[in-house]
Amino acid sequence: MTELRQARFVGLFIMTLILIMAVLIGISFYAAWAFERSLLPQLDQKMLTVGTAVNVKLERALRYGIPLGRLPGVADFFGGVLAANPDLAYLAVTGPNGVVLYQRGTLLPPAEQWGVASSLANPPPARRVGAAYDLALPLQDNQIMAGSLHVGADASFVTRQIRELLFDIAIVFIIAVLIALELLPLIVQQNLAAPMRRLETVLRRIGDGDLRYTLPASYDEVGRLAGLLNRLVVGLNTAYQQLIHQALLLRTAIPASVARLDTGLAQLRQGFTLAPNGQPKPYFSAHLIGARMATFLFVFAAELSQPFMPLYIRTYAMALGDPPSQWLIGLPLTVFTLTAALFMPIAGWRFERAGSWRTFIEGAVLLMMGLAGTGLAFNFFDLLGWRALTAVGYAFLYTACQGYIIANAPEQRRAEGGALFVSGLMAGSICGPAIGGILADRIGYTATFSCAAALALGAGLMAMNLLGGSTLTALSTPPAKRPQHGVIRDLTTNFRFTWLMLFAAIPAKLLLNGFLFFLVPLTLYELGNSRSEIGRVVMLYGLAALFLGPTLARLADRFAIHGLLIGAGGLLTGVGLIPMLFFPNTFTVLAGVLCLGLGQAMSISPQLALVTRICRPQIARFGPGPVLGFYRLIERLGGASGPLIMAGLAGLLGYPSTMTAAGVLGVMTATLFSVGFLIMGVDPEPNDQPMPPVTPEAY
Amino acid sequence: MYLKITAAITTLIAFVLGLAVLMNYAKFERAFSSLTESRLAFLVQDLRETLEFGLDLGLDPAAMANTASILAREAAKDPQILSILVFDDQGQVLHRHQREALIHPLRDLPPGWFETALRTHSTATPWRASDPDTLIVGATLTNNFGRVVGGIALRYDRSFHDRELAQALAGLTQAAGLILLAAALIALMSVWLLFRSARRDLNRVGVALTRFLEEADHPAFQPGRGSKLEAGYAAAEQSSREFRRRLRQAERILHLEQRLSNQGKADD
Repeated sequence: MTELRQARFVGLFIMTLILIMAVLIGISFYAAWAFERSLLPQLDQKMLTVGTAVNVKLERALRYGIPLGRLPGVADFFGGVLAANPDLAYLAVTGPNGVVLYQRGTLLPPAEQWGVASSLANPPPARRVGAAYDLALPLQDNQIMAGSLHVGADASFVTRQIRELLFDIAIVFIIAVLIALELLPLIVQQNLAAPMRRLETVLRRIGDGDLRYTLPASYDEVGRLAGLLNRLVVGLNTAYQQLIHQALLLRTAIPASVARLDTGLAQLRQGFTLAPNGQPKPYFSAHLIGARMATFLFVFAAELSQPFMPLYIRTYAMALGDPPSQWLIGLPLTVFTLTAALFMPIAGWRFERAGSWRTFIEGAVLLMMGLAGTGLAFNFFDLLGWRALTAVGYAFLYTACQGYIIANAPEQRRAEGGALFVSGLMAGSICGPAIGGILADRIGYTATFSCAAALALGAGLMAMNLLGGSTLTALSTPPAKRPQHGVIRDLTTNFRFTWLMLFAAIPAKLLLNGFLFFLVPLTLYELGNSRSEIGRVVMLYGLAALFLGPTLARLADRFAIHGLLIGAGGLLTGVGLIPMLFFPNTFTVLAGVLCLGLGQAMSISPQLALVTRICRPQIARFGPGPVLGFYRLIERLGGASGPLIMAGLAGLLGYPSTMTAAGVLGVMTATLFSVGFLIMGVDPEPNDQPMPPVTPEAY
Repeated sequence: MYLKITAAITTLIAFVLGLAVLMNYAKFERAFSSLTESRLAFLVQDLRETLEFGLDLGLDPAAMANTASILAREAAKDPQILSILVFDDQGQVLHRHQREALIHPLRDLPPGWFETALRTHSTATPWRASDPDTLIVGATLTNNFGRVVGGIALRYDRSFHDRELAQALAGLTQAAGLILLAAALIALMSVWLLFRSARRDLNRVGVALTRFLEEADHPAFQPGRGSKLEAGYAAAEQSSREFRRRLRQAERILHLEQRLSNQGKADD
């Protein structure tokens, strides 16, 4: 996009954010007004019910002849009633002259504001007194007004309900911003930026004498201009073809004119390139933003079930044993990660053969079937099958999107293309859990899985629409001929690589999958959190990783502190999990998730950079693909073991102690990693060669 | 172009509003239900205390003569209370107060319901349940030896509760619809303002290209300052004009050759 178009896009984005904020404020104000109208009569009725019951007891005492001012234990009795009815603020008794005799609770009005009750038969509604609604009921002693009973409720009861929603509304805003960041570039790109760029490119080519291209037709302003331009290009090519045809006829009829005709036609063509056979081709360009949106959608679909997946699995595992074994709850999570890890190479092979479009469609269909099947599973065993199918779809989609972006990004903008893929992936993994939790709370598990399947279908349709017309859908440059065997042997004998895998890469993924995907949902649920709240906590991991990851990666590159950041990130992750045994509450879990997000943001990108540095001989020999492929496979296998290891520990120790144990494991491995690399150093010999470029991986 | 971008923004806002409505409604439902249920729980608790007072005096629950009047008095406090039942630990209904003016006869709770309720619910605090027609709030009755001797179940008209919730949802949906409409109009206007210069460029180039296609000798297009599109078009037009000129020149050569050929044939 040109600067002007970027400025327009920024303007559009800001306008959208303002609109989103305005509509959220608008609907919240309406809700506050509507809640007040509906809830206040209910609150009034509650106050009347409690007041009437208390009144009966006080009047019974008065009938026994005890004066109102000398009733024993009234304040304690009020305390008991208030404790059982937390939506009430206070109870008080005033004498006939309005003097307070007994009172208990909060928000009590000042002495001069207490009113006097009128009639119990037809009591007036509660009136606003200070910070409370006050309902005054008469206390009668033998038909004589002995005083008033006051029942108070917090006047901010309704606004408190709305205030409690503020956190949810803020989450919706964040998600809307992330979706806007995905959607708006796509729409602007598809409807304006890309067609305009194509238009400008074809105009520039015509200006340079290249008359080989037309533009794809559409029904908007750009499309109309494209139609006119196509008329021009087609007209010029046709006129040229007619001329050539006439010249051919003439050459046959008058052989003497051949030289003159050739000279004339050569002069005509000079500086111009015409379409072969006079038929210009439509000019297409790759749709990287479309691939990013498709990535966002499929990750959104896959992650929608993340905050409640262990809880969902537990309902099936109950049929095999009540309470179910923790292993059974962890098993489907492991099956998913393991299947995805093992199918990545197969998906890569499919991508090479069939291209990104077909691989993506196949992946979307598999993901859709897997998610729908998960939601409708009959028992634990077919649930395992559906999770495996979902993982295969995930692997296909992951590979297709990543491959499409790498294959279509210009050579000098490969890293930018990679970042585009990672940002789509991260945005999906933030929005998915947050929305999934809310949906599961409101519409249930099966309907949420149906929504996820619909999203997968949406991703497939988007890919059909956007990725199909690309100039390039599979890697065009075949990999250079290199030896294929011996890479594993070579890498395992690289001591630094083995050390990095054992004490940084595997523990990082193990903790991520074991803690975030298994322990967090189960622990938070046990602590009384709803699925929406679990989703919000899980989402914080993605937020921390998305916003801090790129900055920390840049810092690591700038100051060459990859090893330091990996060690510090591992330590932070571990330290964040340890307090759970001592303070088992939601806040500690939340702090653990944030530390995990920060720790992973610190260590994931530097890990990749460190692999390329310490495996330089292997990369030179086998190429970066097999080396990084092996690294990622081992890392993912570590991730697959996470839920099972945590499940084993949780069965023995319970969730809080398991979190602490995971934290201790994190601290130990990070310490061993740091000590090992402090002793060995990063480079076996002085480093004077540049590192090969690599594509970033999601956190 | 404007409509597509506006449609995308409107869809996003509809999604946001949908979520906000869902969450606000859920909160309202929780607050409303909790208020209603806590009020009914208070009534049931009060009733329990009254009945347990009789039990403490050693009375048999079945033989407590004033129970019917107590139930009637409590039921009179709220017209939405459909019935109050007192049952023993075997699930046999001992006392029943049912509102007389019921439009539809109240369905009996399924056999075994009371026993299950006594077995599964806490003895300390009132419990809540519901069926398609009623909200049920209950409590267990214990004698002064701490033994469960029966329970109370209050059935409350669900239609009022459901009507209030439906009204709240309808109100929220209508408000969201109006907000969405306003937002869509603002979005359309903003998009039009933001992209009007692009549209102007496209129109200018479109008009110039139409003329160029229709009139070969139309004067050259003068691009506006800073417009990449117009500059690109000016270059393309110049190039096309040059190609057309060469085409005409080549055509002239062809005609000349043809004439020469025809002349040669005539001379022969």
